[in-house]
Amino acid sequence: MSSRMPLTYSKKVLELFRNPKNLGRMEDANAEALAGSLACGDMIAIYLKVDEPSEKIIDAKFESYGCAANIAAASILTEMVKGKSLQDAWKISWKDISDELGGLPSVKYHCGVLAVGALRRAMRAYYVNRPKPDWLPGELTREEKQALEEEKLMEVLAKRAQSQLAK
Amino acid sequence: MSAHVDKETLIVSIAAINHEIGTIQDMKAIRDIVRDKDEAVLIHTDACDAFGRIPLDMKNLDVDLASFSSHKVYGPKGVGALYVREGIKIEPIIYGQLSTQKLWPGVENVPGIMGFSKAVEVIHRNFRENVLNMSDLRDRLTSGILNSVDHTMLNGPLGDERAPDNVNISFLYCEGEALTVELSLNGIYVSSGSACTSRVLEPSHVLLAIGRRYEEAHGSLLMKITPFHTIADIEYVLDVLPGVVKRIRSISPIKPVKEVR
Repeated sequence: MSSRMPLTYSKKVLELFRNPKNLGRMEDANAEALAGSLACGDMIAIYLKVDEPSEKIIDAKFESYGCAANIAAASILTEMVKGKSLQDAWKISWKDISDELGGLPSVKYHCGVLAVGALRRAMRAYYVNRPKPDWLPGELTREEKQALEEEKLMEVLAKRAQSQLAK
Repeated sequence: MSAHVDKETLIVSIAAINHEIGTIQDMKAIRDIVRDKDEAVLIHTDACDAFGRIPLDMKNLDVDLASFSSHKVYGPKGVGALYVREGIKIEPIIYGQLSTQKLWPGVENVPGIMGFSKAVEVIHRNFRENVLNMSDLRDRLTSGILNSVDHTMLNGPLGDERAPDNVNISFLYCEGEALTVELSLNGIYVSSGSACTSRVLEPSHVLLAIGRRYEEAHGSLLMKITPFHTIADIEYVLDVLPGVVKRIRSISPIKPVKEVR
């Protein structure tokens, strides 16, 4: 474990890790989603309050089980989406999150990807019982697929580890 | 062990102490089992984490090869020693400018070797006292954490079967990398078996091998006691740690939200 020392994070990442903005569950959210899993050690919950007539995000909150980068990525994303229309929020990429954080270490890019995956999943949840807009892709985007893959992979690995021990 | 040694086996290599969970291996028993099966099998022990923590009498231990590293006894990094029993011939793994007696090509790192030698002298100066002191601090830290923080589990054995310097505890509902970052901001430098702290994003294989679940490995902290630590240091950690764990847990969606896919 000698190589397992904390990474050098940007000032912004450490600041948001120390004092996360928009942390906590939102009781009156009208869209929410969870991405990742405990087994991955990487999990983000996104809560959105969407103003229905304008389809603008008026409030956003998050919870996170994960590393400092994961927490900072989820927190900055909730800051970035506030006041944006759902259509504009959909366009936010993991790279935008990384840039906004002053750069993520390369092994932590997936934290940005997971945050985007969680956000898009929450937006899809919003449209489950509402007419879907034209801009919403029918197919899952790369970020959403990546979140799904991470969840499936860890399920498989965890099961394999358990069965190996049983032998 | 016995089931794993057969005609094909050339060498058996075991760490005398596991550096993650502090398990002290019974090297003599391992040696006897291997030699019983086949006299010709060579036995190597990685003694890096045992050196300076448990008595290592090479005659008594009777292994063929043993390796030691300088930084594990607080000497300079980049220097180590390989014990080779008389009569055993080994080939260099790197060839270069080589004399007949050299296993490693090139010039020696003389200052490093001198530093290593001094470190070995220092660590063995008050050996018994240091070990007793470290064991005491280890037990204070371990029981202090297990008593003051809920949902924790000790990884590895207790008491005499454990290295005197090793504390490894899993904090459930906590991700270890976040814990290490928060602790480092408080001047406490420890490591974690979490996938997030490694460059390969896989949790510690040692913790998985002893039956820990992924989330238990992710929430693990490895803390090492040195002869330079004092009771005051341990008390400081015990003071800070519960609050750190509480804060990291407060960020987590412990009760998972309704899943929508």
